Amino acid sequence: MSDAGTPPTRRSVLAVAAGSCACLGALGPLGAFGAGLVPRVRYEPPLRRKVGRPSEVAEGLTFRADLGVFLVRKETSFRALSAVCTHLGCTVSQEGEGFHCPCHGSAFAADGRNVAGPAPRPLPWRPLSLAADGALIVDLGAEVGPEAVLTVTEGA
Amino acid sequence: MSDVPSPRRAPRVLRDWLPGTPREAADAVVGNLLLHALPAHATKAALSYRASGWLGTACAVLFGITGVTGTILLVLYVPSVERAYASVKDLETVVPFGSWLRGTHRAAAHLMVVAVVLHLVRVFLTGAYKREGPPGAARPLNWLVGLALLLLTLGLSFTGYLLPWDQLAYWAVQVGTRIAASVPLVGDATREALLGGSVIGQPTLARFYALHCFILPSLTMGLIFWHLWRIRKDGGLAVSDRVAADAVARARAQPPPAGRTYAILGATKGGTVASVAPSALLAPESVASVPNAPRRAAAVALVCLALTCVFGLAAAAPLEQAADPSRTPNPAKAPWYFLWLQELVSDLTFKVGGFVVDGTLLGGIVVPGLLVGLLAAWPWLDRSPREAAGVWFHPARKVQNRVFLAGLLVIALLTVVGTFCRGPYWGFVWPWDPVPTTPTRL
Ligand code: HEM
Ligand code: FES
Repeated sequence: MSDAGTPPTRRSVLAVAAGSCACLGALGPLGAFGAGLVPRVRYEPPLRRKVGRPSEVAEGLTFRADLGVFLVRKETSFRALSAVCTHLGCTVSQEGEGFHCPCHGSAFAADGRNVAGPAPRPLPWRPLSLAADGALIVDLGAEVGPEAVLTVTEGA
Repeated sequence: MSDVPSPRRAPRVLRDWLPGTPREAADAVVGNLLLHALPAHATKAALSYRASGWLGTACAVLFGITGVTGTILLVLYVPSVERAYASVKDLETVVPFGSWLRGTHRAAAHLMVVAVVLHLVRVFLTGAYKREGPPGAARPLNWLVGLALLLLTLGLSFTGYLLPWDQLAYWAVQVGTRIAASVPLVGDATREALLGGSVIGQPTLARFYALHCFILPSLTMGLIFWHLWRIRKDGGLAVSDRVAADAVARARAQPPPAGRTYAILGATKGGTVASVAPSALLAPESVASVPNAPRRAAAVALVCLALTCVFGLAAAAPLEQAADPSRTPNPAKAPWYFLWLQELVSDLTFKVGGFVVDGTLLGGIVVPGLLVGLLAAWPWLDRSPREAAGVWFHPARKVQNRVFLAGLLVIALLTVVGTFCRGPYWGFVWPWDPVPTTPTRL
């Protein structure tokens, strides 16, 4: 380009303009191809998942590895507690009354409250509902309070 | 040129590497693609093991070994969620020498982390990042290129960790990407971009595969070439500047000898050769680069190769059970060089009154980010005189060297605690306590 002092010539101005256009033009396809990296379709497991028939759920606490939840049954009442640590997503396991996380040592009480370690929030309770065929459904994308209970009297 | 008689003639293909005359040694640097990266002469100090430990060369060699072993692994490994684990199992059990191949790739990767850190330590302790040298020299820039190489080395390790699709792989990525997600504003988008979705699955494996086998190695290779070219531009290693400065000082003290004045540490800027020191002054301190430099490099390469092959055989790369998203190994540990971060993430969550300090953000992002930022800014923070460049433990840099070593010590201690003193549920145990621990994957 022109040295300091010499005024730009028509040629140098055109060269800069053309070069800039070329660079801008190259950004177009780059952006278009890069957009492919943002997934449009996700082949991920659904958040609403079938748990099974209420009668198949044992009394007390059951860990369901496939769902990442603990099912809590007290006679006819059902609840589901997430087993995914609210810190960085490791799966907690039952330890005495409550739950412990193997990754950074968070501990949770039986009601999901975070009582020790780096976990910032309690383990969330997941809402349960009944499908038309009578099966239990857990919604892993929603959260309810520990007091929300699904009561099933028929076929439990 | 070849009609200059020489006392000892090597076969033509080898002549560059085994020059018989000073003339052939000089020609080699100009006429050989591989050797032209070298200056014609180098100071004996710069070629010594004492000045640099040749650790940078060791990094490059180890990177090369991961490249060669990785290329074979690339052909045998299947980057699919269903088959990745089985293909690695096949490597361990069916492929001839597959276990050794995997072990050697892994050993080279781990040794590379060690070598890169040691290289950084040596550059720091010798103050070799200081702005000095011939016109056009910019060692602080090369320090930044080096830092980028450090981050790339760690990135290569992290992405490679997922590929076997076993338990530790899965959970390391789970935890690592959630740490990324803890960054305000851009965190979630970063995690999604890394995972290719909201959960770890096939898109994640494809992304990590591309990063590990193509994107990061290409970037690393490019930066290594830039790094080495910068050393030329910076007038060789910083220790050479000392030698040159001493030679000039000695010459000033006495009447200068008649001599040629072409630059032997010659760096060109704007088309003119800037004379750093008259070659006559430096001649007693210098030797021809060829064959001295390649000979040492070959020695370093052989040591690296021997170490990786032996380690690869002695410490076979482990393979846990296949990845199981519902069951976390207990304790779940990151690879050893990330354990200090896992310690920080675990320890830095505490309550001040009603306010909870978020250890994930603090230990996983803020502290390492600050450390890297501080290292990057260090050449500009270092106010020591130019005499402190290229000298081990220069008195003028005493305080900063101590701060640096103290920081390293803290990281080393955290690593040791994370490695040996963390049992089930990340609880503190003494190494000699009989607890059922999953050993750290080395
Ligand atoms: C893949 C990683 C790396 C490779 C392959 C590499 C390669 C090299 C080589 C071959 C040298 C010549 C001297 C020697 O062998 O010690 C060198 C010098 C140097 N490296 Fe690196 N390096 C890497 C990482 C780093 C890092 C992490 C830093 C620091 C942040 C760094 C900063 C420097 C500087 C400033 C010099 C010039 C030293 C002097 O003038 O004495 N490099 N590097
Ligand atoms: S993931 Fe549970 S404590 Fe960190």
